[in-house]
Amino acid sequence: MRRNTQKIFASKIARALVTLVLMVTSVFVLMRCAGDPVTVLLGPDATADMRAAYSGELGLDRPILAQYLAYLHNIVRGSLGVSYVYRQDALGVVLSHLPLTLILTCSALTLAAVTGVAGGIAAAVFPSSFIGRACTIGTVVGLCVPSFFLAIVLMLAFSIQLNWLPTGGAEGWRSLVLPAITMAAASSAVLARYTRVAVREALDSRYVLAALARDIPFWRILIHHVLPNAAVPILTILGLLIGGAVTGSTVVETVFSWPGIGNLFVTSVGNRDVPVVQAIVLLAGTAMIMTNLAVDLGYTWLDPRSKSSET
Amino acid sequence: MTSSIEPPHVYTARASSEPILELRNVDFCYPAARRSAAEVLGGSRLHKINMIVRRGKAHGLIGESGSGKSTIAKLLLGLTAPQSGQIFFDGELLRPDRLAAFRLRVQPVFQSPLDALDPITPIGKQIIAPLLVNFNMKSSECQARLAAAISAVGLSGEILGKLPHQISGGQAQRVNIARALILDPEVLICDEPVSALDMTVQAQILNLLSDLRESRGLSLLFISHDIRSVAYLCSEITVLKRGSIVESGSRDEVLLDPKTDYMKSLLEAVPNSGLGLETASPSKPFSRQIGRRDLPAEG
Repeated sequence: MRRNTQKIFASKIARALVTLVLMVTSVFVLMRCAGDPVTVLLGPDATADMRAAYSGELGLDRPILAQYLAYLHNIVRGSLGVSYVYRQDALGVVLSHLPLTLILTCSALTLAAVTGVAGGIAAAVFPSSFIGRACTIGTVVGLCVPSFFLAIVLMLAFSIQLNWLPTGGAEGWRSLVLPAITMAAASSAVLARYTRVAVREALDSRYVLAALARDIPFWRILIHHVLPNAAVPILTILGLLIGGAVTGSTVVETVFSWPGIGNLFVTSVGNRDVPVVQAIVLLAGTAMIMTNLAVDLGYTWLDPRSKSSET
Repeated sequence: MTSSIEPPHVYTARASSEPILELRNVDFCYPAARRSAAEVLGGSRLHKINMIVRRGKAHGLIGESGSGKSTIAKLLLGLTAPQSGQIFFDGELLRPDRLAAFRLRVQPVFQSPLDALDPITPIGKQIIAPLLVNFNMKSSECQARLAAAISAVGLSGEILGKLPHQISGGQAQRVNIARALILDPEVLICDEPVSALDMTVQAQILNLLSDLRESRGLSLLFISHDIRSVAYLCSEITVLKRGSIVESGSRDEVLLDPKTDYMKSLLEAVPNSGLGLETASPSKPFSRQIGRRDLPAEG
């Protein structure tokens, strides 16, 4: 059985690597199709000699296949090229923005996980109560309101009208509050929705009815039977949210001028800074793959059926 | 939580045939939002239900889908309350403050045995849980009770560490019965306990229930739409149609001399009908009797 598990994991890792190669290739092709980076960097008034010299310096005068192979070769060596704009190692540029993005995404995901899971459980356990209805309505609102709109509303209310919090930047915890709430809102709504469905399904099951008929207290049934059974779909959604958080912060970082990877991504796409964009995509893709692997391991821990397949 | 109920095996033996569970003029209706399609079309209500389950006897409750059979089971298990009417257990009115003690003396066995087990909790833990939660019992005593319950249903100790998906439907139903027996109940409410099982396993479970009733003096409420199973196991039968009792009486009265067209139509719908009651033989196991179309009288 252990060999079988190793096979499954090897297959998952192989698929993840293929996905990564396809993703890098797609980004490389799309960035080249989107326009000439030399024109963007030097402007339309640059002479042909200047353009040729700059192309040669960046290696853009070589055939596209050679550029692509050189890029793949560099990736294997751990070098993602030099940023056209910053004139530094692209990976270094990205990693320098990573801590701020991690602070924002970790804060937002913690907030989303706590409010989403708790709200979903409340909505499932007390569907007709005030708290249950409030959670259900909050979920719908959270799903419907776009991040940029919520960001503007929060800014108007708490920064401009009440003057409690700054409108942007990354100076202390006060700057973190509005971006974190904005980013958490949609994730919290998604988590609450899936948690409610998963918990409701477990609550309606026969084994819960059987436990109630044995006079086992409801809270004990909830903790020992309902939540463990509902945990797998919740973990799946949480994994997707964590995996997507690195790039998912793009809109929020841009609106709140938060100098993280999302903001860098938007700037780099505008500047045709191909090495930085590819480094971000590679990082985001790796984060998603690692999260998926962690979720797969989590399934084994949460659901013993995945360990014991023999019947 | 520790219940005030005395540990098992201390109930005083009572004369059999006295009522142990009784419904008097019970009315019930589900809230509109919770009605299934079948209930909306037919039996979402129970009307003036009067029924007695006697100590040590097996009482059959039959009727088509949506007639309210499972609703009666939920009422008798204290999982829902009647809008009007009363439920008596052992001569005492069932009140909310007595539910905890009541539930330990009346245990359910549900349809779809695998669904009645938590899919990610080992079987041993599931069987022993009611003991651990409701009684301050030593671990060694719990283990002894667990072994006795497993043995009573014909299972070996190997099954205790398994998960529900690793056992068969028949084994799962035996586990459910063991889980009920571990509290040493006086009544088993069996809601379609064999309908999800194949014929051979059905026969095994029916024989097991019959043996347990005889050896432990258990009272059974056996809910089923399979008249042959009810005829095999039960000495008294109640027939339900759209939430109302249309016939009730001894097995022979109901099956051999049906008073209503509904009951007659139910009997006519039985494959190879002719239940063979006149040739009943208590000594033969169910599996042999089905083929020969004869059924045992209750002991």
